[in-house]
Amino acid sequence: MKMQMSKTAKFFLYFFLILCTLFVLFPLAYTVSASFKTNMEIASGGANLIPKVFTTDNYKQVWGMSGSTLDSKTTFADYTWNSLKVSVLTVAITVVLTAMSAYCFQRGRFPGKTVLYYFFLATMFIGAGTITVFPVLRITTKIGLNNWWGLALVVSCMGSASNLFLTMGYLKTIPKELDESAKIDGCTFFSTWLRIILPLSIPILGTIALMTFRGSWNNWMLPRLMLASDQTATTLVVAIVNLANNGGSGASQYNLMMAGSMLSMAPMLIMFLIMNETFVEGITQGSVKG
Amino acid sequence: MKDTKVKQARTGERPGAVELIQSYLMVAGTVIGIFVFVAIPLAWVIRYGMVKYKGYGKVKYVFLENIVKVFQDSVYWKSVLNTFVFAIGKLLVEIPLALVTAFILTRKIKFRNFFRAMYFMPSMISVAIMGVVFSYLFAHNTGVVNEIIKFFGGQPVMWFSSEKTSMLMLMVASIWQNFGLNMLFFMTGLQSIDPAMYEAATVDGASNTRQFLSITLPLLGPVLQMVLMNAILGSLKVTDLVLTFTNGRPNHGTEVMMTHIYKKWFETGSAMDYGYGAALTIVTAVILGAVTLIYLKTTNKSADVY
Repeated sequence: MKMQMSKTAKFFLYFFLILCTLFVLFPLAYTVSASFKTNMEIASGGANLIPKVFTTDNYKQVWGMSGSTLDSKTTFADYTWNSLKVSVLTVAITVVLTAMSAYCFQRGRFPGKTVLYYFFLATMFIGAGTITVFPVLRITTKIGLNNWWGLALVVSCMGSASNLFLTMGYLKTIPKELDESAKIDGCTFFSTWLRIILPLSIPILGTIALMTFRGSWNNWMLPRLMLASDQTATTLVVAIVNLANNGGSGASQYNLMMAGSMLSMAPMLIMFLIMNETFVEGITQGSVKG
Repeated sequence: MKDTKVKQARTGERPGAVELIQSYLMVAGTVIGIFVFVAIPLAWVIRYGMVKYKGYGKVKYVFLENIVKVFQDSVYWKSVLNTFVFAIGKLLVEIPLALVTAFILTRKIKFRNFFRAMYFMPSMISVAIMGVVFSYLFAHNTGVVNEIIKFFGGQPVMWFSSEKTSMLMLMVASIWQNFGLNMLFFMTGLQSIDPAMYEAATVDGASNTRQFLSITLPLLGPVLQMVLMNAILGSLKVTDLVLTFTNGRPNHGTEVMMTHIYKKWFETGSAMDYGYGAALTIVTAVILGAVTLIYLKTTNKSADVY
């Protein structure tokens, strides 16, 4: 819309935008602030954003602290490492499965393709989440997959339909002539994918990898339930929420809870600041165009 | 030889045995995964919805008994009501806020990318972690919000004690986390509108309001429909935020459908009733399905108006 804005209109516009920015920054700013305050200062109240006594002890304490009452050896440093490992594993499985199945549905010619395609479509709409979490947990426990591998597999499969459609849309833009000339040069169906299509679909797979990493790093319910039998394998987000839920002792330790929260948020926020455009693209492509 | 290969590749008739085997192997992983982790669990829920089973002994088929029990469960229906109050309440603020910010940020204004990044940033953070952070902000004693109220001379509010304020906190937290995401969707929709249309309309002497009503709204329609659908379903499925923030307190005042199911599955211990949990799940899935159908029907009708 072309509109000439008066000075007052412009003032109100920016005032509104800044107000929204403050709304967004408010919880984050106080989280950062509390993570550097002493517990005594938090307990004595006050709305000051800048700590009276600036301390980094909270981080040191949380980093070396155990978040579980059952197991005292595993610290938050280990949970952070666990989160990283689970997330990388989930990304790897998701990307490989998505890249291969999208290629098959977009380019393949095999009996049963349409049936399978509608099967995928249906799972996307029914979704899973809390509705099926209990049977999923039973199944994974039964087949011995209540560990990182199982968690990565379940997360990959639950999100697979949307990733599949996103990748298929991208493959449509790669000209079929490329496949044909590869075939003439002696490539099979699989080697055409490996040598021609896979390298060309790296941009979309990168986006999917980034979104999957974010989802997996932030995930709470599934890791909490699936890794419950092994306290040493738990992820960072689960450990922080446990810290908050552990009754009276946790509730009075806001300094540690906020420092822990910062441990979980900071990697995501730093990634976001560096790759802001990629995240924006990943989210909008996946939903509006997909 | 070469000619037939070219022909085969072009017309795409008979795929060879090698291609067939390769295709099946390549989709096998995903198909098995979806089958084991999505399809079988769904079938499990449907089967157990019809049985009486407490985790030991024999599985006894009782068919609709569990479903009937769901309709007598007052806490469940309260949680259904709470879920809708939550979803409608927060979307009434979230969607207009997302639309307005999207309109502003699709124009050429200064610091556009900065504001966009700021509003979208909350989507990066774990919902469960934000539940923890918000419970610190709203804590009764020495929570930040109460300290600010005291600083301006007001009376501190016992946020977690009343159903109304607890629900309000949940809505604020959810709006905080999601409005930027919806804004991004709206921005993509707005940017896909051809600027030449506005130019033509301006030449024809159409006012700004006229342009908004006749160009922007109809062309944004499909995006608006999709975003609203996702937002409604997402809000009705809210789980993690409630569990880590208010956890249904006070007295189930902020219990939602999904947390009620979650607690029936995982927090009843030896009183665990498989059949009843599954029946709750089925009824909830039917409610979500009904909302989807009603929504799609009504929006398709309104789409005919344009």
